Formats: sequence, C-alpha cells, structure tokens
Amino acid sequence: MREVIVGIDLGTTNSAVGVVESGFPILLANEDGRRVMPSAVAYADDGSPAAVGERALRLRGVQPVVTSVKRLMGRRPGEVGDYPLPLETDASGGLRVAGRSPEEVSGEILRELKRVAEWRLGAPVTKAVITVPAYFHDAQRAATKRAGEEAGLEVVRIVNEPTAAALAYGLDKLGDKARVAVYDLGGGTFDLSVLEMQDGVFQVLSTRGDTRLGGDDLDRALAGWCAERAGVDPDDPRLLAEAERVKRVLSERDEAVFRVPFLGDGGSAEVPVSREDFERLARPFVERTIRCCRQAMEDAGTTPGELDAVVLVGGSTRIPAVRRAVAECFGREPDLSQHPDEAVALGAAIQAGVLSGALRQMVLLDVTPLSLGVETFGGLMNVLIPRNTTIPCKAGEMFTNAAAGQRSMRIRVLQGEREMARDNWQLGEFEVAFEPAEKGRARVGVQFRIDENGILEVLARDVDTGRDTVVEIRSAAVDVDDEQVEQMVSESVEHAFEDMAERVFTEARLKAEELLPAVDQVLAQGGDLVSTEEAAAIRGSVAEVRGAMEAGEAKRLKAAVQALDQATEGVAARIVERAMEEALSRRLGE
Amino acid sequence: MDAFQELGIERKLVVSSEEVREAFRAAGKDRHPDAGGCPDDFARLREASERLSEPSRRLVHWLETGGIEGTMRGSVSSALMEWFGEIGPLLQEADALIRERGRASTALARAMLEGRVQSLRESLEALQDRLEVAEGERVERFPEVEQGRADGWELARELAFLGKWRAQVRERYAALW
Repeated sequence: MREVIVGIDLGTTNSAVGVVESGFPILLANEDGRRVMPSAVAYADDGSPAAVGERALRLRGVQPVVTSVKRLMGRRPGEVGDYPLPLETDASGGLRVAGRSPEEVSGEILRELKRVAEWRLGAPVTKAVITVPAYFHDAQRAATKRAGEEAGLEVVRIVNEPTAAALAYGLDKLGDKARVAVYDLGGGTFDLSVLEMQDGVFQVLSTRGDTRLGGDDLDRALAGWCAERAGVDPDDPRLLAEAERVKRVLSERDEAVFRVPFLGDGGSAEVPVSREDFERLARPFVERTIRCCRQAMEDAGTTPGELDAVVLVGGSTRIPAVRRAVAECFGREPDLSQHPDEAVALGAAIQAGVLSGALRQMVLLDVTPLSLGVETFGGLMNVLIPRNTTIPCKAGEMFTNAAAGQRSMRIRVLQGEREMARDNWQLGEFEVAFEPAEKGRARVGVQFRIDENGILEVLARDVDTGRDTVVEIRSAAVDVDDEQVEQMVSESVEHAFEDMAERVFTEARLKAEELLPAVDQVLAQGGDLVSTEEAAAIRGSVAEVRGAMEAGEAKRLKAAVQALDQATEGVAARIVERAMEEALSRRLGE
Repeated sequence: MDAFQELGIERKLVVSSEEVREAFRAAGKDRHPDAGGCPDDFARLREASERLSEPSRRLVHWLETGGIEGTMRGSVSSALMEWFGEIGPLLQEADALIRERGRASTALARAMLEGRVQSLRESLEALQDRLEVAEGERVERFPEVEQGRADGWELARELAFLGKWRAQVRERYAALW
C-alpha cells in the first residue's frame, strides 16, 4: 500500500489540503463541505486553542483570534510592521502572539487540516508537502517546516506557491511546450514566477515577489480611509473586518457602504465607498506588483509577447483593478482557468502525488529567489549563489586566516540583492575554526548548499582530512544579550503616549518639509497645471499644515499633511502625465 | 567537465539558449534528485547549463575545453575602450536619481522627479540597445572563431565587459520604473 502524502496550501487568509486520488488531485472538504478553510485560530481564556478556521472567525471580538499568522512566520521582532494583535518577544528573541510562537499557531491550522484529511481518507496522514511564497527566505521556510512538525507532519517538501499553481495549470497540458507567468496575489504576499513547461518538466526561469504585500494591505488602507472620513479611531479591529467585506463587494459592484455601528466611544462609521475610491487607494500596491512583474521578466530574459499565458491565482486577483493592471502589463487577458483559492493546494497535492508515486514522474526545476552570500570587507555582500539559480545547488568558498594564529572567524550569511551587507536580510552567522598557522596559511573550505526546499545547509570541509561537518548557523536574534532583549520587549509593548506623539509629529514634519517647497514651486509655475479651485484648496491646506507645525500638534499635523498630499494628487498626476507625453513625443519624433 | 557532453548537445559555438534549456530539461527529467538522480550528477548538469546558456560564458568554455590557449586578462579592442567613459557617469546619475526618488514620500515630490526619470530611462534604454548591438556583432563572429579565423579570447574578454555593462544598465533601468 503506497504511503499517502498530502499537499497543503498554508495561506495567509485561507488554507486547504489535498491529495491525489486515482490519478487526479482533489481537495479534501471538512464536515461542513468546505474545501478551503480560513487561516484563523481562536484561543480560550486559559490560553488553550479553542477553535480553528470558520469557527475561530466567528469568535472574533469574543476571544483572541489570530489571523494572518503567516506574516509572522520566520520574522524577527521589528520586522513585522502593522499587525492587528499585540506582539511580544520571548526570552530567546522570538516573536509571540496570544502567548504562542507563530509556528505553534500555524501548527494548529495544520493539525486541523491533518484531521480533516485523515477523516476523509480513513487513514493516518503523517507526510505532507507544504507551499510557501516563492520569495520566502530561509527562516520563513524553516519556520513553515517546524510548524508542520508541531502538527505531527513530516514535511517532505516545501514548494513555492507559483510553481504549485503552474503544476495545477499544466497538469492537463503535459504534452505541450509553454512559457507562462504565474501572478499570485494573496492575503499577505505577492509572487510572480516565469516558467517554461515541457514534457512533464516545469522549469522556473525567474521569480520575484514581495512578502509584505497582499490583500491585507488593501484592507488596512481602506479601513484607514473610512475611519478618517467617519472621524473614528482607525485601530478598531472591526474596521478591518468591514473593510475586507467592502473590498469584496466592490469586486462585484460599483459602490458599497462601509458600516460599523456601536464603536467604543459611542461613535459609529457609515461611509459610502465607490469602486473608484477603492481603486485609488489600491493603486500604489498594484503598481508594486507590476514592478515585480517587469523585474521577473527582465531576469528571465523574456518579453510579454513571448509568453503563452499569464495565470492568476490568489484571492486578491479577483479585484478588477488587479486584472486590468495585469492585462496591461502583459499585453493579454489573464488566464482565469485556475480557482484562485484552490490552485495552489491542488499543485501541492500534485507534487505530493509525484513524490509518493501516485502520479507519473513530473520534475520541478525550481529556483532560489534571493541571492545568497556572505559579508566581506567594507561591509559588502559577496554573492555565492545568485538569485534564480536552479535548486538544489551549491557553491564553495575558501576562508583563510587574516592574522597569524587566528583561531576562528565569524562569517555572516545574507540573502538579498543589495550591495551593502546591512541592507540585506541576515540569515545568521557561523564560526569557522582555524588551526594555528601563519597568516593566509590556514584554510577552511565551506560549502553552501540550498536544497530542494530552498533551505540552506552549510558544510565545513577540513582541507587536510577532507571531512565535512554540518555547520550550525546561529540566527542573528539568538545572540542578542539580555539588555537588548529587555529593550526589544519594552519597545514591542505599546509606546507611552508621549513617545508615540513625538514619532508621529517627526514623521509628519519630515513629509511636510518635503511637500511644502514642492507645492510652492508648482503654484509659482502656474499655467494650466493647477485649476483655480485646486489652488485655493491647496493654499488652505498649506496654511493648516503650517499652523499645525507651529502649534506642535502631532495628530493635527499628520492629518494636515495627508490632506495636502491628497489635495496635490491631481497636480502630481498631471505632472507625471506631461512628463510621459513629452517622452513619448520625443520617441515618436525620432 | 565538458558542458556540451553533459547536456548531450553537439559541440558548437552557435547554439540558441532555447536549445540549451530544452537539453537541460530533458536531462533534468532523469537526473533531478526527485527522479532518483544523484545530487552530484544534477549539480554538474546545472553547472553545464549555466556555462552554455550565455554566449560569452559559452565561448570561454568552448575555448577552454578546446585546449585553445588564452586568458580573460588581456587587451580589448580600442572600440571597446570608448564605452568605459560613457557607462560610468550615466550609472552614477541613475543611482543618484534612484536614491532621490526613494527618499520622496509624497505624490507631488515623486511627480516632480518624473521628467528626469523619463529622460534618464531613455538614455539607459538607448545605451542598452547599443550594448546589445555590440554584443550581437561579436556573437556573429562565432563561426569565424570556430574556423580559427578570429581571436576567440579577445572576443570573450569584450563580451564579458559588454555583458557586465548591460547588466548594470539594465538594473538601473528596472529600478527607475
């Protein structure tokens, strides 16, 4: 009896589990008949997990409910940004939410998926393939593996989400040769991969992404905008939930009403939102995805015309503005054949089937998304394995002693594309031990290997004995001393009101100092760039900004600067348009 | 390691990247660890594919495995020397503008940089095109190298420079989107 391996999409917003049955990948539905489950975990008063999935969401506001925990996976304190629940730091420098590590919370979700799979299959399930965003770095992948272990699953493979989606897309086209782009915009992450598929081989040519960009950001932007209009505190969690609902409605209809009654201080919010309003808020985020698309195509050495399809996956690709932007960037209507919430899980199930033998041989030639290197003299990053190298792969580096008698050397490992080491993500550090020798005479060969999961393993080879030993890489956070931990802990707890106000004022002031001279310049230019009404509104805004700065009022200045930013949006757009027109006419004039 | 042998393709300089990719996929189907292949085997295959995908690296590999004496350190034609003075300043200008645009936090401030962004992108694009043409001219001479009528190593050195410059220009161009 062939062993069963399930495929799991552990998503920011939704998760699903599937398996190959009689040669076909299928998703396994729970007792309510749902194939897709919200990635939410509710905790009881005693701290034990109370509910997972749909039931957990219903407990929002009653019990602490953790959502979007994927945004915390593999992250260090200070790396997270906005998050709906308070975060803490534990003694070893790891993040905690609702008193749990992100791996534990994800483990609850995986445990539930495991339970559903076992119930549906009538057999124990101990092995799984789990997907991650292609742009996840080493710690994020390792954390996902650990979450699987928490749930009692052996994670036999970590697969990149766009690659999984490509498997689902290409399963019924195995005889054809095709080059496709997969555009995956989920709740918290974005990836674009360019792949070539032929004869059962799926080769990733390039991948780019952003692990801090997704539907959650759109919800936050919309909630903030509505909160401002309603004059209420933007941080109430119910606003986020309502923003999500309104966002979905606006994918179907042109207008909606954002409505949250009975807010804390007796207020309520009722704001009409048009699809146009939402699209204006969404524009900067969508533009960021398009930039990734262009970079990925550059890296792959391909143009939109050379692609056979651009496949959309991820819930946020239901948004009309996203579809339009994709169509414009790629010069073709996107392929909507894959179910946005199910394709990745189906792909994971396919890979699981391939590894278990339930499916014919298909080979994934995936790549590592980030360049891997070490820090060298002058604080530079020396790349050992460039991004988009097919995995598994390895690279060796020889380290020699810089001074006579030196016993060890600390090597810092990095992932990223920036030139300076400090601008890249710090994977960790390890020590290389030298035999005492003259300067430059002691040598240790170190091999960096990225496995099929995209996870790094470091081996040190003793040049004399030729023996390899696995090198333990210490995560940068673990080395933090007690004093720093205390500082991080106090920083992660809500700021004292005064500190917060000062930070808000400084940020707003910097923005004002950038904006005011620009506004002066534009108003002085005159012409048809600014209408008289606009000019009057802008001048009024400027006066308010100056007034708030003089009065030293933080919230007022922030609001005033935001208003001025918005008041000048029209002018800004016109300036950009004009510059592009001039560029175009120069081009045509050639 | 002979990359042509590893990939199972004929030993020639003129080969399309598509042909190399197809060979890599066909061989990878059996040699990937998932298909039961040995990891070192796959590593060699991957390296072979990387050696042959790009014309300048392919040329170097062909020369090395063909036992043709030469080195990557050496002279380049005077035509190439002129590029040095052009690339540097343009890259610096691009980096400065990228930094400035990165610091801008408001719509208006960003918009006011757009004029410079557009014209710099034009310059970079034009330069990229010329670099591509220069590379193409040298790749066209591959048959001559195969027939022993051209200095393969000098060509390899020039292609290396042109490729490096094109990557640097491309990076700035992409950052100015």
